[in-house]
Amino acid sequence: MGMENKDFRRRLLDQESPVDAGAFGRVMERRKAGGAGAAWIGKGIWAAALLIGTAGIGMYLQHSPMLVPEADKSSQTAETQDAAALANHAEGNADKTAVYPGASVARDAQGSVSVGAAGDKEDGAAHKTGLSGSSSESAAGIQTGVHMQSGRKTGLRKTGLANPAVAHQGDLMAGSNTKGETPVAGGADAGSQLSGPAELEAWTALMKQPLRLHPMFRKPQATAPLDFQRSSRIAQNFLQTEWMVEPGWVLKQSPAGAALRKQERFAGAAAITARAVFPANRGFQWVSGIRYQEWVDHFNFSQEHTSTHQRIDAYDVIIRVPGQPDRTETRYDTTEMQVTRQEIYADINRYRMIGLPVAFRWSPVPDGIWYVQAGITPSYLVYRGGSRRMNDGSVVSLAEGANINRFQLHAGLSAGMRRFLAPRIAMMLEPGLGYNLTQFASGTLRQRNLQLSLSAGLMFHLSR
Amino acid sequence: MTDKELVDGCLREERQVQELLFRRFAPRMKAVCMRYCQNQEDAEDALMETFVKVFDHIRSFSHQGSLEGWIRRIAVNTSLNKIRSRRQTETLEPELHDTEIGDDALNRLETIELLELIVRLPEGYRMVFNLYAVEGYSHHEIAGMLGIEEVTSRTQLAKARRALQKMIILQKELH
Repeated sequence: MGMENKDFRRRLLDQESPVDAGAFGRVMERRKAGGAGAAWIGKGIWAAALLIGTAGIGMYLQHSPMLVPEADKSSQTAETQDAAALANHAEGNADKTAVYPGASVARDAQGSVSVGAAGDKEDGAAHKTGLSGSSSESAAGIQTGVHMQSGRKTGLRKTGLANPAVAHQGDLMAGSNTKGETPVAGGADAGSQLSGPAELEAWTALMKQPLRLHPMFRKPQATAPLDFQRSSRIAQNFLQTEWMVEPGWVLKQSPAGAALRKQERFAGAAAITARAVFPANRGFQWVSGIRYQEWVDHFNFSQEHTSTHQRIDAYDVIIRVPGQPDRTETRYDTTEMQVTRQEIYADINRYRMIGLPVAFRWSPVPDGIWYVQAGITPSYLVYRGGSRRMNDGSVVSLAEGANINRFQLHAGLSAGMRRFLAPRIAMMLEPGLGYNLTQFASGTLRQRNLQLSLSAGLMFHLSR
Repeated sequence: MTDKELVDGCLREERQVQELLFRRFAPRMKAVCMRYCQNQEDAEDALMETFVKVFDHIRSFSHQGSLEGWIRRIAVNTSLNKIRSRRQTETLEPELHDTEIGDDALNRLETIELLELIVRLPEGYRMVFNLYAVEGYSHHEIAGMLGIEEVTSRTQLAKARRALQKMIILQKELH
């Protein structure tokens, strides 16, 4: 059919339509407005990154105090209480108390010294300095005339001094078993100890000495048994970031079909993901972040083009009429011929997308080696592509600059494994299977893809 | 001013050069947009958007083809996007005769009449017809651009041809 003949095309392609004078101004205005929009998006991304960063730091700071031994609080309390008691003594109230009550020194593991007693922590430790007896568990220290109560099971320490008891994060009470109260003077068997100022001075001097715990008495950290409940608690208290690079393969499907076609081409994809993993509960965590992905889809195909060419041969004819001068006329012969040629095209498609992944993760052991993860990533996608005719190198339909913007929803399942390189750094490998649903902005056209990926990256604990 | 000078001026964001480029190509691109969009308003909107993209992405013009061709492709894609955003599923199955229309009938039509006929085509037909018969895209390319199967593109083209034939016959009868 001759509808798409050259003349027809030329006439339509050359067709012009008048454009009003203000059109250019409107273009520039629209461009300016669009630019402002783009700048806003850029600022939005920065704001989001800032927000995530701030949240991370905030969470880190929030959870950091939990790293400090809980018994510190009891030490501080004891210090306050005994400072009051000492003041009481200095004011001459010692005569009311044959024995300095609460004769104890509470020290924390770092060697700070405090005077006092009455912590109420189960994991406190009692250290006896020169006393012949005291209890490590909950009984009263009968020989010293004070009741010592401690939950610490790490043992006792003797320094060879006569008095008094030095409690490490422990409960120590004089005269009674009342926990958590400021020690008061008196007590049935308090009279044999700390009876004079000299002993008190000796005792105070002792307190000023830094306490050097034998390693075996130090609070074990690395060797703590990992039970699920405890780990769950730990898992609640850390935030981690993960930085992943993800090469992948995209199996392209027919835009309209649901099933994969065998001859479908493969496309390469690469993604960079920065994500934060937030603790949930009982081994569950939720993941969110930002992801940039790029697909490059490149394949060749050939096509036969048949065109009709006209050949016009011109020749001169000399006409001689008797009695008249010779006359020359030019005649034309037109012949048509069909030419078929095969052309090879290279099809290049490039998809760039930026997405916000949200996922739910479960580890059999929190912070363990294995985890499984399910999530979705809504993405904004920009498509650029076209074909290049390889025979002569000319561009056929390379639509550079003519973006087709789409929305993509990626749903994926992945299983990951981690290997800790340092206490807070782990190497990660995460194979995944994803399903992409890409939709034009208008909502009428869709494209479906299956995507295989293998992510590799590093994980950093921000708090733990 | 040559195309290269125009591009260079646009790269430097020189407003005068941008205006020159606009004045040179806008009338033709408006005709392109009008061929795809069914109403003037959409066509003008697509034209504006086309030149916004041209100015924004002039950097990606690689001088491998003509500047006009590059802008034309942007205009086509922008018009297609515009249509998609307003798409109403249209199917037209007119009662058509398998009458062949030769080049003569086509040639006798004025360009403006031809445009009017094309614009009157249903949207699906019009897009495929424009892309194939006017712009010269292959069915494979059209399938990729419109997100349809190649066979659908061929079918739409055949239907577009028949619809045009029908309209040309009616036009001849009227005159």
